Amino acid sequence: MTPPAPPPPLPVVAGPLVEVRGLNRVFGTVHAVRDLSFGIPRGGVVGFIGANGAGKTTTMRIMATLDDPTSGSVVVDGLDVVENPSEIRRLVGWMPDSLGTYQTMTVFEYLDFFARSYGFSPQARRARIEEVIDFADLGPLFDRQMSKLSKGMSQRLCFGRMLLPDPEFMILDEPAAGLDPKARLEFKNLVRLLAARGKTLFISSHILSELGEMCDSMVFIDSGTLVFQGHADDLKHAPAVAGSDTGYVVEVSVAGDPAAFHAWIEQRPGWRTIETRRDGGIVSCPATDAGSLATALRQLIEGGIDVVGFRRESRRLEEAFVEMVKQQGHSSTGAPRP
Amino acid sequence: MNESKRPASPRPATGAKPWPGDDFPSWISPMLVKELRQGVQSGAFAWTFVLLQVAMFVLMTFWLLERSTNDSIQLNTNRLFHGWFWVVFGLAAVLVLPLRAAGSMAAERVGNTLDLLRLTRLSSMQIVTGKWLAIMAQVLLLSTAVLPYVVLQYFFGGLDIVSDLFAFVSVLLAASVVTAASVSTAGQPAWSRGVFVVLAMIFFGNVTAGAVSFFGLAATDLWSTLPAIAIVAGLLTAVFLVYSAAAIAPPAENHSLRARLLAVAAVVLCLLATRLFGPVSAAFVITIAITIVAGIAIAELMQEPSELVGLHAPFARLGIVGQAAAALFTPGWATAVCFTLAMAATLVVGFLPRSSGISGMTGSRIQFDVALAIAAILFPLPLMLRFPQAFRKTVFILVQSVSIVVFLFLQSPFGRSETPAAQIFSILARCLPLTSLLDMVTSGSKADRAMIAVPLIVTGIAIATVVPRAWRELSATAARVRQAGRRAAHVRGSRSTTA
Repeated sequence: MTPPAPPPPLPVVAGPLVEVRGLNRVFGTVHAVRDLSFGIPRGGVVGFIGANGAGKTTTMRIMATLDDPTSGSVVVDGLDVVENPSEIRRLVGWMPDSLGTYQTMTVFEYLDFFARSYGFSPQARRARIEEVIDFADLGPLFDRQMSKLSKGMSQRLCFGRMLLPDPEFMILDEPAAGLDPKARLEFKNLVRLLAARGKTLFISSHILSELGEMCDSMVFIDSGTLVFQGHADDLKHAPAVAGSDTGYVVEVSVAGDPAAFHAWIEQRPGWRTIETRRDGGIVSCPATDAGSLATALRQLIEGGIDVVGFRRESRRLEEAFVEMVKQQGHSSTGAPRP
Repeated sequence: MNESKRPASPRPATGAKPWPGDDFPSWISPMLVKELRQGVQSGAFAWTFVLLQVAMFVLMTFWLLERSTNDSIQLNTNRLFHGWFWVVFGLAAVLVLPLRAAGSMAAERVGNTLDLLRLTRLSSMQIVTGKWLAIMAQVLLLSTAVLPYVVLQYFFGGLDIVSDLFAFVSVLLAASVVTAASVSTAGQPAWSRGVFVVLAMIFFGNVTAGAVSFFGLAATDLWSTLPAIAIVAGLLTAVFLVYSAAAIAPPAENHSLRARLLAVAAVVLCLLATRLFGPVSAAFVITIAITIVAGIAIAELMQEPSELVGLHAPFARLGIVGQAAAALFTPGWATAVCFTLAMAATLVVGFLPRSSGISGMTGSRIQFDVALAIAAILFPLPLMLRFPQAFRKTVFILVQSVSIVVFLFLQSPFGRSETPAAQIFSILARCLPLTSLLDMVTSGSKADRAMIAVPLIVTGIAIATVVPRAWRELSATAARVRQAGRRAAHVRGSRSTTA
């Protein structure tokens, strides 16, 4: 396997809050995380995407001081997570995929226990629990036993539990898994509210569409290795990668019979028809940037095609991810689900 | 959910209704609050409570009936009732409730709630102590549940207050040890938990027998025995809790320091035992304390050195003393060797002036036992270091198992025969320190200095082979302490410059 190219630097505003450097984690014969490096900017909502078993949870557990790296380091706010676990734990909020509930406790008892564990004084504890209950809309569930909560309710409760110490950096492992559409929407709203308050969120999922709308940037991993880091739009609009058979994807509408248009496409190297339509079709062209895209349009017009519409198409995140994995030659355990 | 449309608070802030979070005061450990809220509501506690009540009621009814029908055998009836009383109460307090601690801790692991606990401000020690405290609180609750039967017994004249009180304390102490041990088994594989349950049952049998036997003792014997039991139980509880905490602590936490300080406490206890207790109790305390020191030494020898500079920072603050302390109290097999030898030297030298006063032992005999025990612990080290850390425990157990098999062979008719082959085998077998120790202990013979010298010399040679490697590890430890000192000085310098 070829090691991945070093990740492009993030758009740094005030230095990244989290820096993952050459992280490796080996469990017996399984190399779960391989030389992983990326950064998370302050105040950003970053999606962490990869198939099941790609190494997401392992990476996140190391970030939260719950596991130790075999080599490499994770630095949060200038502090190494292995050297300074106590300090890091004051900065980090952690929401595991299994949520972590006590079935025999009520919602209030659960929040009260964690508030006590975070060392709140009685007055502060009461105020903070009320604040969290308001924020996560847990009021109607106050006295309900946790065994009687739906998945969405449990998720809101655990979100509330994570917010109790008001952490700067929140790590959420597959938080939207198994949620119904309404609960998923509520979760997205909570994330946006926290982002608006300047919190940094790192959210993992193997379902790309879950994160596409709520994240400022994405980190893709496959088999424990970094595949892509950047904004979701960059990935969707990214030109064809080297060695791939596709370039920019464009939707072209032509006046009259599209046969001449398709014939022109067939004759041109680098051009390819993806979908045929009555008024033209969707094609990939050998453009790699805006300039060459304009040249492609000019070539079409000079070729006698009556172009009435020319629009660049976004690739679906899933397609982009699969292409990226193919291009980097990873033996992916499976692409993320749409 | 929406900041602009916040739902009403679930409880009015005016305090019209009491805030449910005030049910336990804030100074009580959060873990204890949680465990009591969960534990007392759980079916296991409720069923234990109900079954104990039923058993006590049946027992009391039989006792009263027996007393009313047959006055001539009243004393025997009383003793029988006492025996069953402590068996039933002990079953609940020493076995049923303490064994729940392992399940409770395992449930935290499986449910991923242990991770959430580790991320709070609670230390790993507070987490495991909370678990232990909660079970002990439940044991005390059970104790209050049997109080009416004790009062009834007193009313009918079947109670010896002093001996019953001592029996009660001894059951509580046993519950404390089993609960702590139970917490420490939570992360172990299922088979080892099974072994623990069997051991706990044997222990329960011994404790019950001990509690019942208090009735035959005079009050003066009780006063001399119970403090020894209490100190040993406290030490054992602390050791189990320290290792339970170490299992969930981050590597930046120096859990070796706590464990080794407990070993120091055990050594001090050994040295003071003859002054504090009578001959029988002193022998008991010394045996258990030396076992604790040996157990801690073995556990510490399995450790890899920590490369975390932050862990060495507390030692850097102490200057040259800190450097020396780091060589004894930081994690790692090399520091564990230094620590083990230091403890062994203290014990051997400490017992020199005490050649009498210990039941069935002489000072020199204890010295030889200690020297051989320490040699048995250190002997497998060169072989262990040839394997990765994950296999070192297995190597240690294998070497000791071979030593035991050789000892058993030595006890066979062949080993006892006078043939030249048997003589050669006997000499070679005694090169193994554990074989030699077992032979000396079981034969009860007076220590033969020449025979003891052989395994000690063999162990010395074995340890000499790892001295260069140990020296490198210790130098690296010292370098980390210096680095931690430089880092602290740099931080102080930066702060003063900023100021």
